[in-house]
Amino acid sequence: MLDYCKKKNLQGGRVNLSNKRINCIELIIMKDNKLDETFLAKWLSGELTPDQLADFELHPHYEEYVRINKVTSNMSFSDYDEIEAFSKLKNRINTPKKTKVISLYKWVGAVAACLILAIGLYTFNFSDTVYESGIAEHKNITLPDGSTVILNGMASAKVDKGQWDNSNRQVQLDGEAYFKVKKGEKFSVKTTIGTVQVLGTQFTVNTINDDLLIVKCFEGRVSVTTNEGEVILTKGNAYQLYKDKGKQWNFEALAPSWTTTNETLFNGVPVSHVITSLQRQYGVKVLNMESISSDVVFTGSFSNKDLNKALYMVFGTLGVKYEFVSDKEIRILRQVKK
Amino acid sequence: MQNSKETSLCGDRTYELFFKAQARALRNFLFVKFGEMDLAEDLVQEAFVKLWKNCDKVNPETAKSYLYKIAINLGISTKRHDQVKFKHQNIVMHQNDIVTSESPEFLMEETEFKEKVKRIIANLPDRQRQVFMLSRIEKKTYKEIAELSGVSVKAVEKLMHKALLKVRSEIGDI
Repeated sequence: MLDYCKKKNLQGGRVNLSNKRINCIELIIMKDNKLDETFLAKWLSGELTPDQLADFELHPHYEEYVRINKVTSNMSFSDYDEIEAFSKLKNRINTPKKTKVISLYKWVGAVAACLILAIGLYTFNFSDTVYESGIAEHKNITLPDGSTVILNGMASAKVDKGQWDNSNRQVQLDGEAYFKVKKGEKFSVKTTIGTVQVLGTQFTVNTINDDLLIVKCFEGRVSVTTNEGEVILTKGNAYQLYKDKGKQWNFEALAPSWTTTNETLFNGVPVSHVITSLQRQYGVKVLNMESISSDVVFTGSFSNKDLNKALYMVFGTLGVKYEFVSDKEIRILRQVKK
Repeated sequence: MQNSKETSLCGDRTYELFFKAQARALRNFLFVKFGEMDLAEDLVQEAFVKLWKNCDKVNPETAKSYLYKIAINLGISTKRHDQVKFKHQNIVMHQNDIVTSESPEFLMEETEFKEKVKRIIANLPDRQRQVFMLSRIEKKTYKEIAELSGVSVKAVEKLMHKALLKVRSEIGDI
């Protein structure tokens, strides 16, 4: 029988005696002949030839197969409430619905408060309106559109008032600043490393030594465009770009540490950049910085109020010895190997 | 970023329509794959949140495969290692197949038969179950299933064949 079926290329095998036919089909389905491993699949999808089908109808289990076919085709999965699922999703997203900055118009609330912090060595070469603040001085500025900027110590912001365009508001920033941006169209803050564009509400930007950019988003959405491309941050996302290497992480703080606990916070930042920030904060000069290995990174915070405490918080944790040369000069002695 | 604003998934309307078009099939696919309805529905949410976050980077034409990829990866990393039994209670019958003119005995027998089939297909080996359910319950073609699971149509057909053989033989055993 088996030989007969093989000779007839199995499915086509028709035998006069009905019991022989059945045996052939049994072989077709049951025996592990590679040609027939898809027979039942073809039957379910209606791809069998009329001959194959006629054979199959004689199969002793044909009726059972038909019944299974019928029952399973009437099955479905428990219902899914798409509307509820979508509203749940909307709550999860919980941000303005468009990357288009234009959507700020649709946003409830008169003011999108944007907090921008930048610490850097960049100086402006242009003679437009430049606002500058001294050591530990806070300076209030009002922009042509009514947005306000509060500069922190040793910061400067350049605004081209002659070219001011309410549909493309631009501020060039160096130092630390707190921005309260009036609702409107595109608002961007330019730094030497990249551009931070307001898509939502609150974020910080921090640039140090022209090669480190830190952006933290506290609310809404922020777009950061650098040579590495565009990154969109949402609430609780932080992005850091150092020497063309970007990293992203999440945080839980609701506002930047320097506005709440008066501390400057870093997450894996080269120590040279932390020192730059320290110098800006206190108007001091740190000498002999080369003695600290350039790949030492600092994670932690330092006080913005007490220099001795701040020095201890940075150098203490890194095992670095230092001394005061004068009121405003600190010399690094050596790094104690741990 | 090159996407025009109208077709980009960042558009409220586009995003919502995309959700409505894909969510159910994705949820059922994930249920078939992981066997847990709660997990499947959570994964749908997670995948769509991620899609939203990257709406300006994902090409609308490839968004579907992006969505499935994310959900599957998340599912694999979320699913506990101890094998969860497939919850066959989540398989329901269409109302329209109840023929009221039949005798109560017949209906009873019919109901039992259906329960049996459900249990059996829920307990099929993973790959057979996935293919069988996507084909029979989700009414997907073998080609669609092959694309979703990254195997050949022939492989899908073999799994279907094996699955039906097994369902039949186990029905017979009971």
